[in-house]
Amino acid sequence: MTELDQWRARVREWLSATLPPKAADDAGDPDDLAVFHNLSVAAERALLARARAYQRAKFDAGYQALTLAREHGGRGLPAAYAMVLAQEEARFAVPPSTELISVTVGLVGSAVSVFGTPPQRERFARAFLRTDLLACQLFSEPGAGSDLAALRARAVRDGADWVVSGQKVWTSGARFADYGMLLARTDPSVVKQAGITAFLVPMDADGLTVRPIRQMSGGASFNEVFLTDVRVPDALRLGEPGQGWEIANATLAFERTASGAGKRRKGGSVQDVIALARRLGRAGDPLVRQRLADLYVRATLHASTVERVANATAAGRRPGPAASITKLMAAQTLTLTGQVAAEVLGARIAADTGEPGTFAWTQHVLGAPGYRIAGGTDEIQRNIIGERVLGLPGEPRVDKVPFSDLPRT
Amino acid sequence: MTLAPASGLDGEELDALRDTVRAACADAGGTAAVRRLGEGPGYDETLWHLLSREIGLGGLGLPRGDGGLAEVAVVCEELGRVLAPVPFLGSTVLAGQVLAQCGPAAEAAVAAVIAGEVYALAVADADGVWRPERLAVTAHRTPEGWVLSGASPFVVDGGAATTFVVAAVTGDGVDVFTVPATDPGVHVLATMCLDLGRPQAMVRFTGAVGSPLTADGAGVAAVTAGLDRALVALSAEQLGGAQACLDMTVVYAAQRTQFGRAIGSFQAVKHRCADMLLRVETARSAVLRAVAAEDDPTALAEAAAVAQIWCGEAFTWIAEETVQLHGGTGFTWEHDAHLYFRRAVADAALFGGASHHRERLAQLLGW
Repeated sequence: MTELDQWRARVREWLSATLPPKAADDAGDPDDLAVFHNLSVAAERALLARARAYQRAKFDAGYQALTLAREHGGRGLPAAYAMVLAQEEARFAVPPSTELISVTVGLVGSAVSVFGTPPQRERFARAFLRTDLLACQLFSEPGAGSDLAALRARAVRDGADWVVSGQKVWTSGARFADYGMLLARTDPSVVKQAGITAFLVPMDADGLTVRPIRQMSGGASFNEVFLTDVRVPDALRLGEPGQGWEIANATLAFERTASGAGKRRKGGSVQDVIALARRLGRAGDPLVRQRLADLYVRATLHASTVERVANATAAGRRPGPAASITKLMAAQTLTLTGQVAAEVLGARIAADTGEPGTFAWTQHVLGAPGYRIAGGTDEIQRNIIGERVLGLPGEPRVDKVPFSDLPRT
Repeated sequence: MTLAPASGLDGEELDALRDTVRAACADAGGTAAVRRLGEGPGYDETLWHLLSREIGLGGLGLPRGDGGLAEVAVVCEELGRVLAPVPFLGSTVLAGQVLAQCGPAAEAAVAAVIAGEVYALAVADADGVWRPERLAVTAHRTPEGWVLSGASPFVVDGGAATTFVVAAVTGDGVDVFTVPATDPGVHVLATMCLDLGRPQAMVRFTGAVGSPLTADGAGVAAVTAGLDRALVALSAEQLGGAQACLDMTVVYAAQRTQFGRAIGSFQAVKHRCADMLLRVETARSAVLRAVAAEDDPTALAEAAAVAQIWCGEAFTWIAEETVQLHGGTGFTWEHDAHLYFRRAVADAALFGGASHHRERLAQLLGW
């Protein structure tokens, strides 16, 4: 038995003792087709409570932060161990996770573990990795979306504190978070990437307000966060002044390598569309069959590309160019799924006949455009592929000057 | 620029095979071999001799030959990369894989293919698709043996074949026969072909004498299973061609200057290249997935259809974009872009095209 096999056996034993096995007919709710979920505050809290209980159990049993280096408080295990854990988790009824949980554990928890001072690690690393405290991400701004480094939230040193003012946007879970990992401009006299500093901001600080954003699909999965002269002690500065851009990039990389277990399903699947076509008697239509096959091919090859990347990573190899295309593929598959479902539904996508599992597809169709934007737009993904993978030259840049010299929009 | 096929078809032995085939093709002049073809037998005899006999790839993936589908895919990918004009796909893969499904009766024929003799597969209907119910070739039992009549179009490498592997309608269904090209009842007409590197022929049988390899209608299963494996090889060839197109386009976009900057710095061009990479890497996933299904015929049939749908369309789109992104240069006869474009369109049409495979996939999945 290899060490990895022993690990698998141990993980499975622990999971059996912790969680019920996944039900065989785990097809889910036919009306749960939203890409961005819209839950009441009470329902969101209940969901968080279940997810947190599992994260705590996982932490206490030593299954959290597996790939994080030992000197940073992780287990320092190869990626293969995390993959085995994810594979085994897939066999059990893992409580659905939320964006806030994965940001807390995968992004902020890892960032504090790697970049925090000893007192910060003492106070926060365990609390975030165990989800005793929840942390959201205060990165994007109305004027800094794809061009995140152009952010304008200001932090000015005042004695032992920093005074922060600005507006953040697209923050998942801000209403439930205890802390926010904030990127703010501390030095406008240098190029934009160099003048950014990271902080941990208590979400209940004076001068900080949260306002939900209602998205086009109708729900409010994200928030705006307004900061007006919020005083943040220097002890909550993460990393050195000016290190914020490096920390943001490193932590976004942690997030990308975090395990995918317990993810909530995003929208309907190809199997849902096939079942829909059958139910509505459309599966015999030659043109519908062509569309279904097209969707099946795309979804299948997306899944096998994701698996290919995971296997390469687990084997300690560089995943290669395939890794950079999976976000774009995911967005395209999600979009096509909605398009084919709408075609199969015909008039039923436009008006609710009351038949279950039909008009609910509007939640998928209305959510898919958001997935093409969130976490790096399709266009930014193509820039990354073109420049970092294919090695094509960048656009001529006009923003390599001190931030304060950039034109304001 | 060549991207390492990370987590692709790799490993020490496959890498060595890949390097060997790549070097042999490079020594033959790469795509120049296609332009040299001219009047001859329709393939590069020197390169084929080297590949099939000296390197021993003539029987790759066949019983008693070496290797399996992974090795076949690596070779097809490399041959596809330079459009190598050799009958590997026509003889070793198409004819060979169908022969391999025909049991002991086909042993001698398989041995001949392994030895590098060119066999060609004649199983297409009038539309170039394998639909046994529409075959136009019939076989009748006579005192002299089985006699075949009818036309078989779209025979890949048919002009160079010494022997045809033919699907014919008998009283019992469809069975597979071998017919020597020298039989007086065999008439081979080399056709004009879109793909300059892969000839096809129209073969007419007028009372040609064939040797049966299957009986009682077992030919349908044999051809179907052989073609499923061949579709994976074809997909790998398309992957190789698509990768070559992407590579040449990226090199060109990085060096060609207009408006005072490399055209690859414009997002309109860069994003197109990114989309090409997405399709190439997805094609690689499709080929890997199909190769992994080698030992499970049901899974292989599904994976072969998935791969052929994706790879056929991906290579065609990428070849079109390769012409486009090379601008006027890409539209010249001298530039290689059109050789790939021709191959892409012709490959996508072999054995039915994407809409045919989509319908087959729907049936395989029980929709």
